[in-house]
Amino acid sequence: MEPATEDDGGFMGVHVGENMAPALVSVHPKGAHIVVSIGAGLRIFDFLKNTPVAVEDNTTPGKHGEAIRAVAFNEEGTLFASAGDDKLVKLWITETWSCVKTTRLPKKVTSVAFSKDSKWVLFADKFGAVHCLPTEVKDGKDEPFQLLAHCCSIITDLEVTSDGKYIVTSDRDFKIRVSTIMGDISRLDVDCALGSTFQLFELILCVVAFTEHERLDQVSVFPRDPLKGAPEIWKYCLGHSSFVTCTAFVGKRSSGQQFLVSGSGDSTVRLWDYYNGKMLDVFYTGEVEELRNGKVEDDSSRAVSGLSVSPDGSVVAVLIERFSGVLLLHYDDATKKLTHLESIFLSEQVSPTSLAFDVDSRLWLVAGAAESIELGDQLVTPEDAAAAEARAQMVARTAVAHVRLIRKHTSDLGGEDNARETLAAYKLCEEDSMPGGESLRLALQGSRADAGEVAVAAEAAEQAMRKLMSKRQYTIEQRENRKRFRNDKKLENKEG
Amino acid sequence: MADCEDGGFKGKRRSEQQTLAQGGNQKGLPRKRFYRARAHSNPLSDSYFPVPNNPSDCDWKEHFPAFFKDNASEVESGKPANDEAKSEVRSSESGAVVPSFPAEKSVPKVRFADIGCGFGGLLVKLSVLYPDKLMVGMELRDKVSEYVKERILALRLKYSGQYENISCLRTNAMKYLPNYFEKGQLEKMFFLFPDPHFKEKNHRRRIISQALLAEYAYIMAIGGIIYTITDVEELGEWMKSNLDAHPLFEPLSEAELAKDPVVDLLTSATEEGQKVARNSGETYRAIYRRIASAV
Repeated sequence: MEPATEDDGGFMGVHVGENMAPALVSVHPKGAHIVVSIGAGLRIFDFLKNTPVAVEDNTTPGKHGEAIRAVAFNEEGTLFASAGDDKLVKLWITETWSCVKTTRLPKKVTSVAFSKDSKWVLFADKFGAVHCLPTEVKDGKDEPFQLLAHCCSIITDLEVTSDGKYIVTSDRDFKIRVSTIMGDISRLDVDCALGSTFQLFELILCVVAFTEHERLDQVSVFPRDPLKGAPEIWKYCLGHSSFVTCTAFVGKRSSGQQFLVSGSGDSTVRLWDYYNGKMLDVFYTGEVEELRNGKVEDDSSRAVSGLSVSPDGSVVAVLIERFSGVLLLHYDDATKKLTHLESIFLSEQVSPTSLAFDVDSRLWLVAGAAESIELGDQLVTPEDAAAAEARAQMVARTAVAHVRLIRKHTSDLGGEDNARETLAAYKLCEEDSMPGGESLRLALQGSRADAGEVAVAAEAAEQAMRKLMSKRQYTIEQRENRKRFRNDKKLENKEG
Repeated sequence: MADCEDGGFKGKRRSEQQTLAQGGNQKGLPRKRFYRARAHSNPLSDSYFPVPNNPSDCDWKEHFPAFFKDNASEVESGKPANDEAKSEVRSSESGAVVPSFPAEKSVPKVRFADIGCGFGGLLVKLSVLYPDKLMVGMELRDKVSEYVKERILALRLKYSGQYENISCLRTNAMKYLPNYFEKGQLEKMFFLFPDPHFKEKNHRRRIISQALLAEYAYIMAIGGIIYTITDVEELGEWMKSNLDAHPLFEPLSEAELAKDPVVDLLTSATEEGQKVARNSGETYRAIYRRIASAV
């Protein structure tokens, strides 16, 4: 089944189709692994053994059939989730990198997060719903149930607050929503002494206990009534004037005081007190000197396409459309303001597609994209599905990515000048001196590492994102055409 | 559309078209036949109308000019006597069973919202029943919301001092309610004869669903009431079961329903309701109160 791609041999051999999915990077919270997902494939590198890791997957379907759009580690790093356009969520145990669970969902997944106690994996889909799946492996199929939904809007990011009490979701309709995860132990007549920290999903009548009492695990059954979810919206953080692309928490986790930063198509990064729904600061990326000196011909505002916060919560790294580098912002906890720290340029003209800080405050950047082949609504025979999966895997294997590292360089100041080290300079790491060295580069970047190819692919991915997030503009003629060929019948062939 | 000798008729604004048709007399109320629209409108399509970024950006002064004059006492005073008034003016406190909400002290805020207000029948009736409460109707269809705006303007002109507390917004209530209203702002929400979306694959577009109830619960004050009515039995059951399933709403008792003056308006006030009554159809009501969360 040959999908219709714009195949004139591609540009420099890269197949740039309609739908290019960006490469994503994710680092193990304790620094053990780094994962780059590109297309339908996962590339994993183990830092401790300094070797690439092959995954083991005995579930069905055994591989992702379309591009992976969301990846996440749980807080301890014991679990990993991958999900995407093939509507599958795969749950992996990171010790052995074997897939323990694969679940099919009704819609494409855009974002994934684990609950604080790692008992649940939450995922958001393209239609605005957030679903929940237990991470425990049981015999028989578990069905995900819906927690909450933004009405008919693509959810772009999903985060769980560090105290485990709220889910923060951002969407295409400029909104950030904070929803309460409900819990009330008094509802249960379970006779046991509980530790002081636990969270429950009360309204789904399901106990998720975060406690040392093992027997409570038996109470973590599937909800009796899947209609219930996280029905209480705590606050909205409204203020962005365009689609919100990503959110992240700043501030020290230990201090409990966490604030939220969000990036958007309006090219701002905003700081929020999410508990009160108040906007604390706005940072206009368009006003940064280095960005203004960029290409003159595109006047349109450049969207913020990615955010990552350093482990100490004080540095926010920002990726911007068509910017071949990363912007670093300083978050000041005392004044609750965001200020420009540094702009770091990559040596080649490639805009990174994803970024992640690791536990040692090193910032990993990856640039690349692979085509995501849409199977569409047509009925697909198992042979077709297998063929599509194989093709997707091949595309993933041959796709190239660039991996770069940015490290903090503490200047060699002695004695009294130590105070200056707090705002240490970040510098791009030389390719040869990246941890993992040649091994890592081979494993994560793919066989060829041509800057031109990567740039083309990354740009296509950015355009795909923009197209997805913006309201579609149709001419009158196009609108009439669409009305005429509207498909109201689900499984029959389309005409024309 | 009535045709005229004037070839440029179609290009003119609806109010002007009407004036031309009526022979130059614009004092009268707008005529529905100039604002005909299909009953159905797709809430999933992205239409082009301005939406405020957040509730504090929303300019209510434009909608309720009389309430935003300098003297705040304007809000508390009773309505000036007007022998053309059709219904008796009742204060909002009488007959209400829910904890009475205090009269506006500072900046007046919208308290009632009619979602899918159609041609505005309910708003017009509620306006005289609760003269101190600001209320808006929200309507997705362009022509229909324009009709309601013209109707309100004409009523304000005709009955001086009255109908200053109602207005109409053209917007998609499924997506943008939190942009207009703060948390806990509304005291009443109305869903009269909503689109049933019969096909199962369209059920997700229904205006009452678990996900949307979370949004309505957010913008409603605790103790606020949500009124729904329909003549489609299946939809009535759907709305009732969704409200039952949602932990932040509880049904009103029969006694409370009997005491609430608004309940009868659900069937009698709107064009849709009157049509159902004419055809001796059955109606199915689900009226619930927003309660505090159990946590």
